[in-house]
Amino acid sequence: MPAIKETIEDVRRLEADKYKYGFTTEIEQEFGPKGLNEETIRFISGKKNEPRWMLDWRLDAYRRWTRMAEPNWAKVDYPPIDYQGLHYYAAPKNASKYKNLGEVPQELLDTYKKLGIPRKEAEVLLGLEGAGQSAAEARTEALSGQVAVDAVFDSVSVATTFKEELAKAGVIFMPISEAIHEHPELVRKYLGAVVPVTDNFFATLNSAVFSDGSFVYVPKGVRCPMELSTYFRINAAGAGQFERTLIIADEGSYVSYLEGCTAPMRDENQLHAAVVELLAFDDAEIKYSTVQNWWPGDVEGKGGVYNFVTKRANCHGRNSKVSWTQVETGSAITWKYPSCVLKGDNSRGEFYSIAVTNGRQQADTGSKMIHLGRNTKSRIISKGISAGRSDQTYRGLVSVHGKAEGARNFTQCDSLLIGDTCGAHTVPYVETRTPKAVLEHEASTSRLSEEQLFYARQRGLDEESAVALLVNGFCREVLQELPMEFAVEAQALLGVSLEGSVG
Amino acid sequence: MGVAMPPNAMEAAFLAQLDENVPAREMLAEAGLPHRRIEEWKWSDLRAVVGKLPAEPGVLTFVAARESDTVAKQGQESALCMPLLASALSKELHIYTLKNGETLELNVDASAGFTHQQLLVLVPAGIKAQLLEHYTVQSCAFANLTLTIVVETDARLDRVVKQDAAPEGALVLTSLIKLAPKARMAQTTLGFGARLARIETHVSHAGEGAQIRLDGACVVGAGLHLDQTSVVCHEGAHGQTDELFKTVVARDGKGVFQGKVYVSGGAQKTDARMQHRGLLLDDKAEIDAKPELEIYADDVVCTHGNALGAIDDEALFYMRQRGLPEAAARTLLIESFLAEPLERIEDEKVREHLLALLRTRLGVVT
Amino acid sequence: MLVIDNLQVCVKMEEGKGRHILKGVSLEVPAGQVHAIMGPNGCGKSTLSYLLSGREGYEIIGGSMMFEGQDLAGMEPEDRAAAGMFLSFQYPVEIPGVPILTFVKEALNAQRRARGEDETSTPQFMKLAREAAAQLDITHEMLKRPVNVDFSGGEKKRMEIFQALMLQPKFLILDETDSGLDIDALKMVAEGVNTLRGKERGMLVITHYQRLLDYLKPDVVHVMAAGCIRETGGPELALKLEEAGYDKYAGGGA
Ligand SMILES: Nc1ncnc2c1ncn2[C@@H]1O[C@H](COP(=O)(O)OP(=O)(O)O)[C@@H](O)[C@H]1O
Ligand SMILES: [Mg+2]
Repeated sequence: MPAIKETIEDVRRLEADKYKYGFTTEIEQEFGPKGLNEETIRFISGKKNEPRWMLDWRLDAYRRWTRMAEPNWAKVDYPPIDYQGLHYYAAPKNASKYKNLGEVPQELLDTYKKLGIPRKEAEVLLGLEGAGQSAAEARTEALSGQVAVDAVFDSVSVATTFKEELAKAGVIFMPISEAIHEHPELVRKYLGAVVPVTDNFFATLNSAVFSDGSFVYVPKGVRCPMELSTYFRINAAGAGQFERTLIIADEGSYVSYLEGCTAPMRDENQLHAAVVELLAFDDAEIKYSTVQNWWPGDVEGKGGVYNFVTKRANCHGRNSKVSWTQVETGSAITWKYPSCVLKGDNSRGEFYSIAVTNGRQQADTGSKMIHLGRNTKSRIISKGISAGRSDQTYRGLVSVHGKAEGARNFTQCDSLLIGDTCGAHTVPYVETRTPKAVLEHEASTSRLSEEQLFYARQRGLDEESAVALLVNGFCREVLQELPMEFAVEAQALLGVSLEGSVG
Repeated sequence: MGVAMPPNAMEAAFLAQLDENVPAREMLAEAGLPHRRIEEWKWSDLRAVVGKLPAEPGVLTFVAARESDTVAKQGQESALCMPLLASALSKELHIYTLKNGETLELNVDASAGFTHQQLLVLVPAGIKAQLLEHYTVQSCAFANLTLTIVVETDARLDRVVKQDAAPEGALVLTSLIKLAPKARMAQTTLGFGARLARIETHVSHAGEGAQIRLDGACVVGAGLHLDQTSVVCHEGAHGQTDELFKTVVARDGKGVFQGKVYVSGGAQKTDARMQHRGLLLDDKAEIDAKPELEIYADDVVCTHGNALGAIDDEALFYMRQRGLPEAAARTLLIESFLAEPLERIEDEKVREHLLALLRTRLGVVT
Repeated sequence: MLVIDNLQVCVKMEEGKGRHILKGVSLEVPAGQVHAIMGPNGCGKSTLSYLLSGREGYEIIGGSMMFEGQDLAGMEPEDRAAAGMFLSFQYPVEIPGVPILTFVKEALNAQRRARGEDETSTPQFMKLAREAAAQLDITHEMLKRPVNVDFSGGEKKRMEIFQALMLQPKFLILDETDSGLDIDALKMVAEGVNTLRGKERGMLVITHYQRLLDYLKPDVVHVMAAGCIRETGGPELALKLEEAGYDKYAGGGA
């Protein structure tokens, strides 16, 4: 049987147990009321002791949401979501209130272990008293080196590490639920500034019910001394996760932020509707990297996370720069278009993406670059790999407005098909209203080459390694953009996602 | 989605002519004429443009080199709105069966008011023929034309479409092309736009090993709008598609390019390439493009490219350094940019005619 | 070492049809010897090299090929590679995005693991790579590029020999490794190959030209035409061919 055929067969046999993050953590959960109404919103807001303005903001979003319709233009197909059958709040009981290690449920510690977060760091994450001092120690032990971590477990942020060290540099990195209390002036000013409340159905839903997420503020001229990182994890059954992240890079500052996501295997679908807002002022730079590995459902398409995410950056200042890098291997349904609004003159936006779909996964993802300022530059590199019975669409928009003289965009979308039961699609929209811009777009679709596979095997690589090597080669331009520690993780993840492409 | 809009004058006039229960009526009553909220028409708001044109019947004059072979009653069903209306609202369907070596010329002129017409062109197995079309749309006219072209096994058709600028008229020309196994076709469009002109081509590689070359050169001047839309569907294996489109937009003109290539699971060994290049000459010019791939077969070569920009300053300087005045250099660059798809026309006489036409019209537009 | 006995092969074509290419090839290469195969274009030389290395798309309809007592038929390409079979491709394929050193290191360690040997350490590997590269005039910059991407024809052939030096196979098949090389490159490549020569190694050198054989000094020369070995002799046979061409063998095989 030809190698490729075999690969295809094997991919089809891909088993659910390949998903190593698919465990659940058996701890007592506290749920909010089921269903969505004003009471739910008041409950969530009350749980977090939110000030009145925050509750009003949520209620306003909720009322608007009730008048909105779910979008249907994406090339994804899923049964109607029962928004009244979901919990909008779930939290481990007594979260973040542990006094010592003995009080932390073993299950929660195990969860972090399985997620690959070192014990010391987990202690800090769990907010153990005295753990702050051990932060430095934890850091040296952490595999990932100098990385500050915020972990969002279902609806609440469990803890944030290295807060103090960051504070010394003047960087604010904390759960957004705390930021609402501690830095209300910043949150009030910037929340919804990049993704307005009514931006789209899912963003509006998020605005109404968001539970937690990260808040980052990097002051003028500060280069954030370490990578900031958040782990998101959905655990509770029948609960949606709606995190909200807000990152503000003030003039001349720099920050690199990493986001990792996992979820347990469950038969029912889990809803994830997040909003990420980035704001970069003059000469500031934000690098935002994601490794998304939500549970994709089993081979037959049962279960899996519905991932409806709105991510947008406003390159507000002159010479500001935002780059989105994502490695997407998970989720049953992905609906996600990280964007940059290039408002400041000379600002730059970048989007580097690897998306792997296998089994019955469906992904409709891409990027939007909106050129408003002069000499704005953008670059989109997208590598899509489809296998099994999956369907993947790159959908993007490059729009150049009349005043954006000197704007430039380069877009490259390459798709790789493994087998003839999957689909790969490319739908770029390009709009320009000035003769003083240059826009280029290239796309190709190909398959894993028999020739290349044979060459690698002639030199002694087995089929599994040969496929992994070729796929890594295909994705190279994007992998290079990831921070070191993440690149290694991402390469491993690519291997796991295509496992079964191997004998 | 949502509530039906009240029909505008043009829609009301169409509805008045349509019998109850015909699909075209249902479609029109429900969705109206295509408008910008319909994905396929997002950059060409036909409803808004023709809503302002006089809603009364016009006259379509056909000057063909010969009579059609047959006239039939309508029977064509289409999922597309405009062909559906063309068949429901025109009285008869003209059918031409081309002969080997024949060159059929069709000159179509639409007078003020709305007109609908449908044509069927058959290219029998094994023959080689040419089809030359020329469309003129008068002030205040809205012409909706549908051409169905069937190229049988081993046959070869060369088609050229010329469309004159129509600042006060609107034109929708939809071509539905079916390629039998090993059929070959080449199509070249030279268009100058209208208040709104849409040249929409659907190609189905129904059989194995068919080939099509689909080219277009568009020049869009002040106040004009030209939309080149194509959907090429590969159902049979070993099909080939080669597309090259060029758009030049001057003043406040608007050029739209939408090109979709669909490859079904059975269409292995498809080779499909699509290129679109656009030049914007002035500050208010606009080009919107959407090159699209939808692919379900793995052993294929499919690529597309899209590049938009202004005239290359370095080339301009180089030519001026060698003594060409700026205006002449500019015209030369634009002309050679647009000539590329026209150069691919095989018939020398036709090619030279189109290149000459381009040269004379360019001066007016730019 | 390598024993090919009356090998008959069809190439699989579309719709299940087949085309008979090798019509009974027999030859034997003992360890320590270098054999050359010469023959007109299209006579089946590359087909033989693909067959020995395990490429798909062929059907063996008769005969056998044994390598160190092991039947090659049915072995996976990587298992043959681990057993020591190296093919220098006539047309080395480009693999975008995969750096050459990463590729060779992965291949080397995969082979070593398959043979139950320890993996090579990175410093050790880099040392070997530097030496091999120096021998073939391969620059540091070239080593950073992806496998065969944007190399000229001659550079690709040098990279093939570089890989052979790194992998130290037991048996080398050189499929027209000399075509596309200028005189200096040919000399370098030949010297590279000669360093691999030894009592334990066998080689099968496919070529059209005497030039390469001047350097490699084969023990035996075979003439292949229309899918058969038509004549076997010493090095003088190659010289004779250079003068007389393949005319004598025209007009069908067995
Ligand atoms: N995949 C194939 N399908 C059909 N014919 C093939 C195929 N591969 C090789 N051949 C034919 O087999 C013959 C031998 O080819 P090859 O071994 O490449 O010759 P050479 O001796 O030049 O290396 C040639 O006639 C070639 O056209
Ligand atoms: Mg050969």
